[in-house]
Amino acid sequence: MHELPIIARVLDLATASAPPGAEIVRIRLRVGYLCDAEPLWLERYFRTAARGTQAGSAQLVVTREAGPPPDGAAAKAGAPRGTADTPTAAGASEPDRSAADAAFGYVLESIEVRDAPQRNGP
Amino acid sequence: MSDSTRIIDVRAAVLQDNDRLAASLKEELRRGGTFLVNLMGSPGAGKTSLLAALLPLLAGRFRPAVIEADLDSKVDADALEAKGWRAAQLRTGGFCHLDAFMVRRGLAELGLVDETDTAPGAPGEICAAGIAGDAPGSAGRGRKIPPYDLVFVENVGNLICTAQVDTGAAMNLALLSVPEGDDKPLKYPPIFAMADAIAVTKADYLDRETFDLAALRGRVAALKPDSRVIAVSARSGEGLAELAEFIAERAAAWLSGAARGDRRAGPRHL
Repeated sequence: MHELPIIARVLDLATASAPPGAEIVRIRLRVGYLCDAEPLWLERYFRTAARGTQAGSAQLVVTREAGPPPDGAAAKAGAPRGTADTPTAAGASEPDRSAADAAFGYVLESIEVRDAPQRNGP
Repeated sequence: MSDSTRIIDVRAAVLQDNDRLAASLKEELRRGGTFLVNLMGSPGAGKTSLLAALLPLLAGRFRPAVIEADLDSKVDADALEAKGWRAAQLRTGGFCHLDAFMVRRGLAELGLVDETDTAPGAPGEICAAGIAGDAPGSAGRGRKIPPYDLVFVENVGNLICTAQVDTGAAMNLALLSVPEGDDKPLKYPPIFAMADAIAVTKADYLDRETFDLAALRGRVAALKPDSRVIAVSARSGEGLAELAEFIAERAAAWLSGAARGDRRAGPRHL
């Protein structure tokens, strides 16, 4: 269920990043290893949500982070979600490949666009 | 017409708006001296029953209140208000989890923040509806005491979606009831990886043959080694004092941090 607002936000970010009139042909999304978001379902929701937008025929490429290393990385990932000792900084949401990002992050990496055809003369 | 394409680097966190709002809310609550606990668990895990049993143990040290969230009805808020606790109810419609924006609405209903977000660092916005007086650690400086300094937000009953979105809470407390089984950290790891503590509710049903508490502790530790697992029963009272103490310690650390922040901030908060 949480996939819907995530996909809506992906579309918002992608269309805001695309030049006006350009066709978005590919969207690359990276998801953390602890995100409950299966690429198959994300793509399915995306197909429906993107209909009629600049990304109507775009391919959504979802890459899932590899699982945690066996050194308690999940614990580090949990911390920025808010412990009393470690207040979350705004920067924790930045795509900086931090532990939290690798675990819980959804990062729109890039979009591939085909520019609108140029008009020659008036 | 050229058919060539080009790649535009975006590198944006998809949930960045919520994450920024959550961080700003956290800082605002810290400055105002309110500790917010995000309570998560399946429907029927015993979230409301736990609160009803836990609040009396915390009321001597804090001024607690609750934000309830459900798809519909205000059954839970009514149940807590019938016991004399202040409870605001959020109706999420079809939404399966709370986000920072919704939590802010609940806090506004409790008179703890304005409805609209304020930029981090802007003093004086919190506790506009608060009771006049001095906040802990700011004696004599005229800062308002928040009407509630310990707020539980009972998230929508859900083990999955609630773990995906930052609510702005200072502490995440996940509930797992004994009837649900000790294998849940294997099946739903995110919530156990992000929670600061796990309350194993309905401990009066605990049967060591069908629910292995040691195995659960091991599974939680594999995801988050510093997480605390506390078996509790709202019916028998088992474990409630330990859980109350754990929350009180976390809250006190948070609130003393706010007081230290006041000293650093100096005249800005006068």
